[in-house]
Amino acid sequence: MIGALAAACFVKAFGAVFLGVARRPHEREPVEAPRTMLVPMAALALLCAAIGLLPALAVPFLDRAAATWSAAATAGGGAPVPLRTLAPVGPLGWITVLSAALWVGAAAAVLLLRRRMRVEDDQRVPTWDCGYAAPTARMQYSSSSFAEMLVAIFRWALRPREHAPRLRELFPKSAHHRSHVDDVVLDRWFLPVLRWIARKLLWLRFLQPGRIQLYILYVLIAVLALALSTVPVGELLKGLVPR
Amino acid sequence: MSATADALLVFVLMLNFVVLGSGRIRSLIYTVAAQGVALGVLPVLVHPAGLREALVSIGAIVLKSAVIPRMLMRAMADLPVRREVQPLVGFRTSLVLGAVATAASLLLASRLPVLGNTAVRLLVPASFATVLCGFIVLIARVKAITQVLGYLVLENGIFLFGLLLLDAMPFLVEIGVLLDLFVAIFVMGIIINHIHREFSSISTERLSTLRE
Amino acid sequence: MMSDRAVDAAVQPLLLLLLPPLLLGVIVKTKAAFAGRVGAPLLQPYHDLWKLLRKGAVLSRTTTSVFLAGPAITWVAVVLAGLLVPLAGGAAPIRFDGDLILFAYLLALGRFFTALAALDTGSSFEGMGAAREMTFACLAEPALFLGLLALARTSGGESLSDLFGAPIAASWSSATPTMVLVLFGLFIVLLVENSRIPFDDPNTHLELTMVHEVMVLDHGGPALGVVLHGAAVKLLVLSSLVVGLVVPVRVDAAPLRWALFVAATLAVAVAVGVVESTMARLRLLYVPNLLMGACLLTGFGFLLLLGTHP
Repeated sequence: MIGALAAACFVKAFGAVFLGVARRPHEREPVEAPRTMLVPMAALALLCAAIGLLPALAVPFLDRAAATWSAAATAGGGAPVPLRTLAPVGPLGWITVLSAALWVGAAAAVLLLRRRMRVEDDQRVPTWDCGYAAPTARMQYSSSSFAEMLVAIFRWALRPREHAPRLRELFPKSAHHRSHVDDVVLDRWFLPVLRWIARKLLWLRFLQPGRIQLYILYVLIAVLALALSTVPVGELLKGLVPR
Repeated sequence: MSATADALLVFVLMLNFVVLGSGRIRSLIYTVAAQGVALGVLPVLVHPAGLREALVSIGAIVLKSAVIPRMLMRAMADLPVRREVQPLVGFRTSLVLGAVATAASLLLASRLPVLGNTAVRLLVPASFATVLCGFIVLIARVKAITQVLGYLVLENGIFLFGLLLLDAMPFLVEIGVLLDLFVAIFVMGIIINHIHREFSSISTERLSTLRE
Repeated sequence: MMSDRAVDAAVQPLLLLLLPPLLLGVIVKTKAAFAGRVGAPLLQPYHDLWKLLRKGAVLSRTTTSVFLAGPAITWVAVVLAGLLVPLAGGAAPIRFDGDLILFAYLLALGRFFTALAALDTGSSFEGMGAAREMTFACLAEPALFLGLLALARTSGGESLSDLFGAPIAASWSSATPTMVLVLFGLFIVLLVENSRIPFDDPNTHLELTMVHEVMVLDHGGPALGVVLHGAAVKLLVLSSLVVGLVVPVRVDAAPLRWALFVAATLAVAVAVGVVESTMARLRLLYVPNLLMGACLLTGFGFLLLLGTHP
């Protein structure tokens, strides 16, 4: 199910942000970032994609790094234990080849289709709206509506919070409905426990008066204590006493 | 060879005391630069001469005596401060502390189990003493620039210690340490500038308002 | 044998590209027979595709390059998945250990891009279809994986080509309950992945009741042709899994083998037509229950295996 959930998640994320029409009017005209900011991001993204889609290219580097660790293991004496190389973990070679074939084929198919279906900009028409005369941008699917069905199915685990308006009169005025899903593990388990711990340990604040010099003194004391702990104290003082 | 190295190390130890005792920032910068030059010459003396030692030497000298002092001078040019006027621990007290630290290192350093080239017997005690003096400056002084200088003295001590392991450490690590130093001073220069702009003084006492 | 594999490797792509529209024709004919009509000719889908590929098209103002990339990439992914499946009980042209995971995810990749192309139009209908399709897929994927895992366990192989063929005959005799459960589970997966009744009505004209149809609502002309052909290929690919389960014999003579395969696939198409004619579309609220049931079927089949074949 993980693959399908991941696919659903990214369709939602990509679609809600990039696709369709702007769901809310922009307050200011967006300005693209300068190229010096875009190029590093693009380079990193390309590397991620390369490692994911063509994994066999990354295997030699990872194998070399793993080999230095197994070399270090032999320094302690004893027979060298070679760590497993990455190669037999999965059919990375096949996946690389097939993925390359897939993307080359996909690129070719997309180009062919686009050439075949070229439409001038002024000949474009609004999206088919089944005869509804006034569709607006707000009618598009947003992130929460896209995920609504999945959240409903897994309600028992996700526990979404809803703020539904209560209607009291015959002709109610405008109202709001809001719902959101907390991060289950973080917001319901970790954070309350951590907050409780923080409350209990508040009295330790006296150690933090805000002076850098005091903190550096702490560091010095800690380092000296560590250094002296490597030597038995008797051995240290042995040289001093007869003097 | 060994005698020259010893002499240089004693010179370094004395420069420590100068740093501890002086309050004039310009002279402090020059002192630390001189310490850097002395340290830069040492790799060639301690180890049999080779390309790697020569490169580390030249890199250290250029960095510590030319590049970093210039950066610090430039940071100081914008600031109206010339002296460390009110240190947390007075100059005389810090001198005494420095003397105690040096004595302790000289006495105890030989007891600690240390690997590497121990032919130059003064190397380990000198490095510990320098490190401890650097710490004292960091703890005892208030102005941010003096603290940066204390950090530099600390790094000099670490560099001395690293000389022991020059054979064992890959060249890349040595150069990496020098690069770290350069970047750290660069960033500290920027931060001092910001502190001055924010508080109109570079006394680090003001930084305690950052505590919530 | 070497030449045997070469023949298989040559015939499979051809079959993948040419057979699927016939399946659609058979389904339509079956439903017409149930309704007492003559129905459209068997070869009508071929004519439809040919007409679509020659047509012009209009594009919406809202769509971007993602809109045309969707059908194209889906088609490539589904055809590649088809090359991983062993048709006719032989070996697939592309096989390696673990290719069943790649198979499932190639189909998922196709679904991903179709949904993206749907969201690109900026219409709420397509968004609705995409949301429903992705949700159904989340629930159907475990069923598919558990079924394939059960088959892998009985046959001892790790590649799709190893699962089918000779080991299936042995499994039918030694682990019959598992095989029956997996068969039902995989058939339900076939129905949901190809948007057939009871999950989606391919003949409906009401957009609010569609799932797959509404995702491709705005495509026209050649793009629609690519979409239709891709969907048909997906139907063939998933039916070949069912065929592999039901027909465990392997005939040595190549022409006879392929003829048997085509006949069996058409039989599966007839079965789909029968299901479509006798059942109505399920209420949307109950679809997750049915899918969960399919997961339980295959899961239970897998558990039975664990119990009896440690």
